[in-house]
Amino acid sequence: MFRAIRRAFTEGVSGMAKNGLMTVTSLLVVTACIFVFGVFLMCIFNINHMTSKMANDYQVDVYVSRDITVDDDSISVFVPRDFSLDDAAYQEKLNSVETLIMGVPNVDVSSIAFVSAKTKLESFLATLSDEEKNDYQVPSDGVIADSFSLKLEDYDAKIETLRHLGEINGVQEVLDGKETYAYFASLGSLPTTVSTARYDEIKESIRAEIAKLDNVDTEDIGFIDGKEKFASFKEGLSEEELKDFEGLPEDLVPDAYTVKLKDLSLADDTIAKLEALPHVESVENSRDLIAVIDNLKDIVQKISIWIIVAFALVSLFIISNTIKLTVHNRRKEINIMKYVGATDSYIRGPFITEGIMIGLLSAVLAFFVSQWTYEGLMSAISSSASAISANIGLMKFSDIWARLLGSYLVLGGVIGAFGSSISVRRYLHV
Amino acid sequence: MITFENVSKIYDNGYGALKGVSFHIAKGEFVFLVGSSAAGKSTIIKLMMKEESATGGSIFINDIDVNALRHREIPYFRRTLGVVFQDFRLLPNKNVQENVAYAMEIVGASNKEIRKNVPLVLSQVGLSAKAKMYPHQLSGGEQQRVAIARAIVNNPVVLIADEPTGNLDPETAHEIMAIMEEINKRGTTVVMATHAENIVNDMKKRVIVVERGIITRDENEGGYGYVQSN
Repeated sequence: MFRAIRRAFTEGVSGMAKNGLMTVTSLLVVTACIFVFGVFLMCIFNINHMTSKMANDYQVDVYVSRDITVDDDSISVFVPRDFSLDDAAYQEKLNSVETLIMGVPNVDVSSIAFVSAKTKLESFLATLSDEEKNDYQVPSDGVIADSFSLKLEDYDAKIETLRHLGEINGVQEVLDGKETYAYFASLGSLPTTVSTARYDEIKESIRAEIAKLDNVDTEDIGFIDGKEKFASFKEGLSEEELKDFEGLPEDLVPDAYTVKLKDLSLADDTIAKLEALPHVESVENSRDLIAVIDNLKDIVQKISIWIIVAFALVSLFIISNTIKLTVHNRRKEINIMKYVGATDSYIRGPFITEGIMIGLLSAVLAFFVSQWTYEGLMSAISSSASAISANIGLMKFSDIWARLLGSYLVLGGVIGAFGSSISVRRYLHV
Repeated sequence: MITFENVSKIYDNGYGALKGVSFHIAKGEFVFLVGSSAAGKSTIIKLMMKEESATGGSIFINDIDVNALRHREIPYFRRTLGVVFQDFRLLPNKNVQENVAYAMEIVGASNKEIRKNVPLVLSQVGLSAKAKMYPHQLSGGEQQRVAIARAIVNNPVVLIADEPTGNLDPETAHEIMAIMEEINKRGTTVVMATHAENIVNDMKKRVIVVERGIITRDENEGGYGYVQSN
């Protein structure tokens, strides 16, 4: 057994030596093929590294809103009183608008009610805490318009219905509950931000809601104080630049919770859930960048599969031709071996060995070429754009050499064994 | 030892080389296989070595059903045969002793056996003095002796020789035949295909004559042609 292996090895080496030029040619071609494969492999290693780095850094920022939000699904259709109209004429105008509103599809006719400006305002005030109400008062009559309040049968078609209502003659504005509140607030009649006490409650409830989500790492929910963030941002500015920020409220930047996800593939779903939470102003994340890189990885992987297939075929062809030549050179000897009673595997051994050795030798050559290229590229990148290389976090050659050499040897060995066995099967009739 | 029973062989191109050949060769016999070229001698040799397969009939060698041999069994079957060719078929880059040892290495003999048997067979064929020489340094007769040494080094039960004297002058041919006869005397069955009329007539061995794919004559102590057989 040991002698058979030693024989296969020595005869394989002598086959390579006797084929001289053909061996060199196939070594070079296979080396080139493995190197091209390696270029893609190194790209994939780096992209994988980047994605996993980004996945580790990935966090979702959930900004907490200080705005007062009203839970009111009624639509207000404002009908202003023209001062030229007397009571009777205004009433007539209201009647005609009401009739037209009733004709608009999707309007729940039974819900239509005339609401004076004052009544509407008071209904909003009733939802506020005393602290919030403090500074505000009901403005005098006539500053804001009266309206018809109504509900819709189908809120999915809201935009369409609102447009129809807006087209009615005599209607000044059509607003939903939230917009109505904002409108009143803009006139100075209602507060826009919640009280400190209520804000603390909101923060707590958002934190509790976030922690309830399955995909959230509850151990790692952080909090960024918006005021501190804004203050530290301003610290980094020159006096000149600071002027632009004069007079802005110190709570300009909203507070945020930072959330880490357990499973990135469910990020879309989790982010949608976070966005739907009450009092969440916005949700920000680096998901898009991850998607871009994932896409890139996909493309590179697809290309590399084709590259590997194409170059593996070229390698197979060249190796099988080299072996074919060896088989031809040694056909006499093979014949004699057959007559003396050598087994198939005994005859084939040296040829397969020769093929495998060409493959492995090419793999080692390709490895050194790769090292030289990779390190050259790395030093070029780091000297020209150090910031970029630091940010995208390219891997060092010392981090990838083992995987690279392993892949090369496996690929080279398999191609060599396969290529030579093709020739042995086709040209070696034992 | 060797039994051909109604053996026929039709090649893939449709040529019928053998048309129902039957003979029996006993253990220890020395048999000449004669006939003009393309008569079927070579086909019989090839069938014996399982280089070709019979298309009809049955062949038994040493109690082995040759037709039924599976591909992977063929090498082990061939190890029971020794083969000698007209063109010697030695490896030019190996010396005499290495050429012989090679046959033993292939069948997996131990180094000890090789060191013991190679000099033995070389002395048997009278080449002990030229063990280190290369084939191109030897005469035709000497090269054929190396080939014979290689054929018998693994102790085959049958020695098959296909025109072994074809490339040799008559004197050398007789020397080779003396060696063949010596081997036969030690118990090895010898089957030799040949054209050499003189040799066949001198040796007075069994002669099987093949013509156009059939056996036309099979007699003990025969001669090459009808004239001599009387």
